[in-house]
Amino acid sequence: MTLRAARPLLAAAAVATLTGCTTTPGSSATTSAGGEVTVLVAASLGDVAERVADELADQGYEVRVQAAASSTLAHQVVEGAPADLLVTASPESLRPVLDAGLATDPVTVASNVVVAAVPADDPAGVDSADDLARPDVRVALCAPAVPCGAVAREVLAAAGIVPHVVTEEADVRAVLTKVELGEVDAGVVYRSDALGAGDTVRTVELPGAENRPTTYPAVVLADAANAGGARAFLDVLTSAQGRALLAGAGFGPP
Amino acid sequence: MTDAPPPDRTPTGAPIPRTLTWLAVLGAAFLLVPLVGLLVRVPWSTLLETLSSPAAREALGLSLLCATTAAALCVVLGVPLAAVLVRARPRTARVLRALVTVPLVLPPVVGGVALLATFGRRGLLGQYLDAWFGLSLPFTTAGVVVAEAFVAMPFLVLAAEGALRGVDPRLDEAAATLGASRWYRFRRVTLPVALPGLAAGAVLAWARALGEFGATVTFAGSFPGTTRTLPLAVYVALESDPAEALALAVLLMVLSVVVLVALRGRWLGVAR
Repeated sequence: MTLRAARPLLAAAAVATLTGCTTTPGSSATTSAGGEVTVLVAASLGDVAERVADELADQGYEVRVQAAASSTLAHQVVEGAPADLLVTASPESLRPVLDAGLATDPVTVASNVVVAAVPADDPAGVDSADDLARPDVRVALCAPAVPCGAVAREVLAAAGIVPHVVTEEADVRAVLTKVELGEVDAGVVYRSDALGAGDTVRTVELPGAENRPTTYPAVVLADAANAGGARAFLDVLTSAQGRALLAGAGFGPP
Repeated sequence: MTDAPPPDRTPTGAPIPRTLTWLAVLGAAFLLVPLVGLLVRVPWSTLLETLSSPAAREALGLSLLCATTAAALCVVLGVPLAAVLVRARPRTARVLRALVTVPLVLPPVVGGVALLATFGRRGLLGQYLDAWFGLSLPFTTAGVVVAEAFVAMPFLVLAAEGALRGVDPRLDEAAATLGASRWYRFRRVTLPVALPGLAAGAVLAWARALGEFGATVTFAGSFPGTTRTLPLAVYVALESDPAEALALAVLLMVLSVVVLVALRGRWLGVAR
């Protein structure tokens, strides 16, 4: 009995903790800016999202960025994970969220193409995309179910390259890690990932990759506790400043 | 943990405090309800179809092979290590035990990175394995076994140490006075007495190896038929087909429960 009576109180306390104390419940969302914003972004967008979060900190927003594989994020949202904004690395990975009626009207915020990343010291001597077909070159790809894996396979197939794949990683960052550690001779990742790795990897262009770009759709979630904050994040991301951040990180225009 | 005849552990008359009982019920519910939650979601109608797919059978076979090999490796290296811990001076044993059980608290993914830094192509030892023998553990089935054994061995060492410590030293001394060699005493006196505890440790290590994910995916990668064990297959399937992931998870659960129950009845019957 006592437990049951306490339950709504506990729930209210939990909600208050989750949404942050800066916004009082019930205050009009249109006028009050600020508060805590939870942003879920595809692994490849993590760094840019952190930069946008820094920008929004000046406006009183406390942005919590969570970067992971797009399909994982979509799955979490469908399962009821509390979040305000979701940006995935492909329209396909966003579909479960749209199908569940948890968001509408996605906005494309960026695009990306795949490249081959090679360890800086290039143990296998990978100079061109054709070298990926050599049997002695160990290649890491994303699993076919992940957007980066699907795109990589399409681009390689279109270029007539059959690589010696030693591992199919669950997300693009895992592929990059294997390259950075020098455990594989090449890995197919997004241009932004290869650029973000700095001097530890070298980029080798894949022919025809620009014909198969991946796009990044963003949605403000229907259950967002701070929809205003989510829109503010989206505004910065799609502004000239946001575009410049994205371009600097290796992303293409939407 | 005591003399050769097992202690009588049948319930005695004195009941435990009611508070403990309630907390125990809560504890059991905390462990079991999530499993029920999982089972409710499982697409039972297509379960058999999913589990009979070549990919699922491949992952299952690989999981059994790797976990069993890893558990065997744990026994071969872990039991001697436990025997040394039992005989070592207390302070030495404490330090050694703490070091040996580090993989227990290490996040498995970090364990995988540590293995890469050691056995990887550019690792401490791996660079020589690669240069001298052309051997490379990452992305191979042997790599999976190494990752699983690394994570599972502490479980075996701790269990085996407890079991060996429970062997009455007087048995060993008696055998020594009769002229038995050290090796003979260990093999014919100490081991048989400690066997139930050792078997329990081996089963625990096997179960831990079967469910291993983080170190495996980091060190050995994920490739169908070579390194993609059941837990890795579950993770990959979550990305594309959650129903398949749930089916594989059920397979993993049923497999471990069946083996644990069967072995407990058969080998560990003494310690009932």
